[in-house]
Amino acid sequence: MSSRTLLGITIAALLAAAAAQADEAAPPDTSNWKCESCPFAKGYVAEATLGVIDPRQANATYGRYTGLDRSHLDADVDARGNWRDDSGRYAEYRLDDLGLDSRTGRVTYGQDGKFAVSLSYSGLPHRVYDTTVTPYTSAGSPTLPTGWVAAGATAGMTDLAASLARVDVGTIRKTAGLDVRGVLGAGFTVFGSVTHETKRGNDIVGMPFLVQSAQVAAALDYQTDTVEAGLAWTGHGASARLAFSDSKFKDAWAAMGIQNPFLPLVPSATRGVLALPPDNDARGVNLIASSALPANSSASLSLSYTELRQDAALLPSSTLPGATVPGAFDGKVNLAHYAATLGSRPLNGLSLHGRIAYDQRTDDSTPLTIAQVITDEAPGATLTTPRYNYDRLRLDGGADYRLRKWLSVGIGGDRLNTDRTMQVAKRTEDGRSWVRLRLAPLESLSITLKGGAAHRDASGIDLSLLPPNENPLMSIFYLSNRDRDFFEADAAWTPTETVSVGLKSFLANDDYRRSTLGLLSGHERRIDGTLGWTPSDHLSFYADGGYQKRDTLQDGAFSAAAAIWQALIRDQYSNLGVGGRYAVKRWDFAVDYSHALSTGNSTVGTIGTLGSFPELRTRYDSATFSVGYALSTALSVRLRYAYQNYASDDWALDNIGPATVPNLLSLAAPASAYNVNLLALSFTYRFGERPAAKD
Amino acid sequence: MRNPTIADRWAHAMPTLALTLLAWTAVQAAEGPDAAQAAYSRKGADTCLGCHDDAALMGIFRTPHGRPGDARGPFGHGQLQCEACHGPGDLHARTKGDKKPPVIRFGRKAGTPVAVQNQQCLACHRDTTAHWAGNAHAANDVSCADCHRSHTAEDPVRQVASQPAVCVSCHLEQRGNLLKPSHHPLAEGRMGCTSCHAAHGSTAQAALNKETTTALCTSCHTEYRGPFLWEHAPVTEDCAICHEPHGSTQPALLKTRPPFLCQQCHEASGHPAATYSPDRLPGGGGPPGGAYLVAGGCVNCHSQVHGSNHPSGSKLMR
Repeated sequence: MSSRTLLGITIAALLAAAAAQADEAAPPDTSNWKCESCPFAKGYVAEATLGVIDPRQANATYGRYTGLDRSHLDADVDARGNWRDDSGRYAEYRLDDLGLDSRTGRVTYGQDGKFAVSLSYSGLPHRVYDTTVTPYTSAGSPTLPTGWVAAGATAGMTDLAASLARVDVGTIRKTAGLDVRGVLGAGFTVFGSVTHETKRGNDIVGMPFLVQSAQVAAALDYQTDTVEAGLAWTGHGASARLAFSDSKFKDAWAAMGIQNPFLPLVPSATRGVLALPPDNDARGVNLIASSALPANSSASLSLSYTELRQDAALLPSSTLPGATVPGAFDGKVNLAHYAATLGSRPLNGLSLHGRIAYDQRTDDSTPLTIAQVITDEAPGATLTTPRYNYDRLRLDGGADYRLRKWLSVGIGGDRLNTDRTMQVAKRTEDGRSWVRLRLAPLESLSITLKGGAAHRDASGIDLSLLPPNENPLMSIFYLSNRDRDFFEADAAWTPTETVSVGLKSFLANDDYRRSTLGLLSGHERRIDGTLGWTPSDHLSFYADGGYQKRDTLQDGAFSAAAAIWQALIRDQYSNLGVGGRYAVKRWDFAVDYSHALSTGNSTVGTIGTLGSFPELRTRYDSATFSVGYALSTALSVRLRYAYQNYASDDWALDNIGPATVPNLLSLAAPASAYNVNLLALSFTYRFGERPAAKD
Repeated sequence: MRNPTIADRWAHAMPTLALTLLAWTAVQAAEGPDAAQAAYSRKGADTCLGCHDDAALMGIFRTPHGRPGDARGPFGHGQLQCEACHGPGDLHARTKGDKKPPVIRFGRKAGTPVAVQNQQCLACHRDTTAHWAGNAHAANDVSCADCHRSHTAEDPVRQVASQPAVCVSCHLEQRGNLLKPSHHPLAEGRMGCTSCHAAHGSTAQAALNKETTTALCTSCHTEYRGPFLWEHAPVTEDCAICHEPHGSTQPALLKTRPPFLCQQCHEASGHPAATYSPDRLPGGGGPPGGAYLVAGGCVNCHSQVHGSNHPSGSKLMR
């Protein structure tokens, strides 16, 4: 039989298999299916909430992300509603936290099965500190007060104490968007979106002058505009989606000149200039397709290509007299991703899945060779900008087979080969394999045990690519040989209809077996549990908790010899939560308590004489109680009280004033702490009617 | 006779494979639900709602599934209404008492095999589930109804604020991470798990929404997208080399606190190789070293650690 004949048989058999798979019972005649008893939504339904929130003793840390960062009354305003008519036209809106910087809103107009247009907005405050202090004025172009007395050390800055003024550190991100979706028929949908995002505020920036540095609350003003458009198709057992996107980032501050508060080591270095993130552009195209295959199988693929561009004008190489711009930079990086997945359940009880993915980063930016001027003061080496490329091939897959109703066994693994340029290890090969058992000794109990091993091998070591003066014994941890073993177990148990219990644990050991310096080992342990009890539809309780521990050991040395110093770092974290809800007639009660504790212990020093840093410690406690009461079918009231306490000890921040460190003018950022009592009272009014239904 | 080429071997193997698949398919068809006996009801949802009319189920009419104007939805013109998802229900409707044959039901305790449940959803929702079959959720027999509530007006897993609670009910280890001192704004309801992860599967590592970790992170943190004149190699490769995106006890979601994190890669002669022992803290009595340890540690000076566009930024200080 010729190859062509065999190929023909193959195609015919596959088509027959597909046809067999697609063979389904004929659909019934539904022309008389009126659904007269279906309470389809129509008309206008809405609810509006109005109230006040009083967060006593709130601060930046407490209010990051929510906007509740000041001790004053805030308005609690939410609204949502929707209108629908018989033809399927509808309008919906949802507006939350209108009285806070974290306000969000979405308004949509559309017609069912035809089109939808949405406008959205969200604010995301991220206040970090509200007690930081600085002698600099104008965050956009930080300047020291007239008459500033520069000194070789902070203690000599005689104007410092008098010049300090409070400066907040934090940002707010605001995003506005337009989304459009239209159904074209025959399974085609067209979609598009435009988003405009700004991020403004202050961020802490370190501004070094050789061996001295000043922390500055530098102004930040970012804007990102993104457009995405595409076409999607869904057919019987298949789908495809093609999308284009273009995202432009703009930074209002291309550079920031910052005055040197120290006596300059080079007389003219009274000012330094920082290059801030340059404008950039990311354009991409992405194709996703999937198809059902014979034998309960399905395959998908994803192809994407993105181009990153950046050609912002360069600064002079220093602020020193005579410094010039060393040329123009045409930055261009291409990112490619080609991947396919396959999932199959060819036999009863057998499931298979696999994936292959190839990622490539190609940096086509023209390298520049530039004589370095270190921190605008000292001449440094002449260096060529390294351009980093990689090729990554990832394969992973697994199989599970149900041997018995109560027992399944699974095996799997993955492999990741990465080839890089300009990094000390030209190639790393990561491999992982695992075995999994799933047991269901009782109908109400399932247990999963999974264990395995992984390894990473680095090859093509080229020490000439190490940074200048780097110790050749140093092993960069993500490019180093590593062995890992891991084990995880989880259990889910529902002893009764009303009780559920979950337990999950994980442990992993990492051994950087051939490293002399750098990370040598790591150990991670986790255990988490949850308990739920729902004695009735009106009453429920929960409790959950967890514990994590991570230890790492690393060695270091001043010269290319054996390790001289060692750091043993142990981080632990535990959390606990309990709560319950009770709803009866007009009343609705909820109570929650959460606790989290983290500790970090670092023991560092010359081998044999290690010393301990003070313990890093954070403690979080939060208790919330809320009660709601339905004054009528339309009007309800809710009272909420929340207590939150946060305390932390951090040797990097505690008692570090602006002049505590001789060669660091700091912002005196404190370790976070707060003790907040929040009281909120709100009324919610409902408009319109809900579909009639029996309770 | 010439030796068989690889192409010849494939050509001989493929028919065997295809015929085997065909046989499997036939077996599956024979073992599948008894289509010959299954019949749809005579009046559709009007039949079902005669009994199943409690408020919890009526919520479906406030969801996209309950829209008569959407020809693609189960209640669109000519569609199968309740039986579009629950399967043929005629026998179920006509049988009285406790011996009613079950229809397809959804959820962990539903009795209907997970694969059958999911097939009902996937038959329509292919557009958002292209990579489902090769995904970890599918491999772990997670049913759509384990996460989604199709009869409630607002599916908690599709709301940003309530989504994390759904995900951590299985991913227990992430429940505690939400409260770590440094975290993304999930606990505050401003971000969902699906802001980063494709719960229905993707071709990226850890079911990320973007092709790589770095592409994902820089889709929000666009200022770090670059390319920079001077790049920091791990930043171009994978943000997770230094950061713990699910939460950290260290500042800025770092895995370990500087200078120790930085010293896991940098040991150049001079200050990178120095011993930063506790006696170097201010007032510790040791040699000066506070600027390397307190406040931002290494980033007190190397503030452009994500990349620098300054001509003299090779050490990421400008």
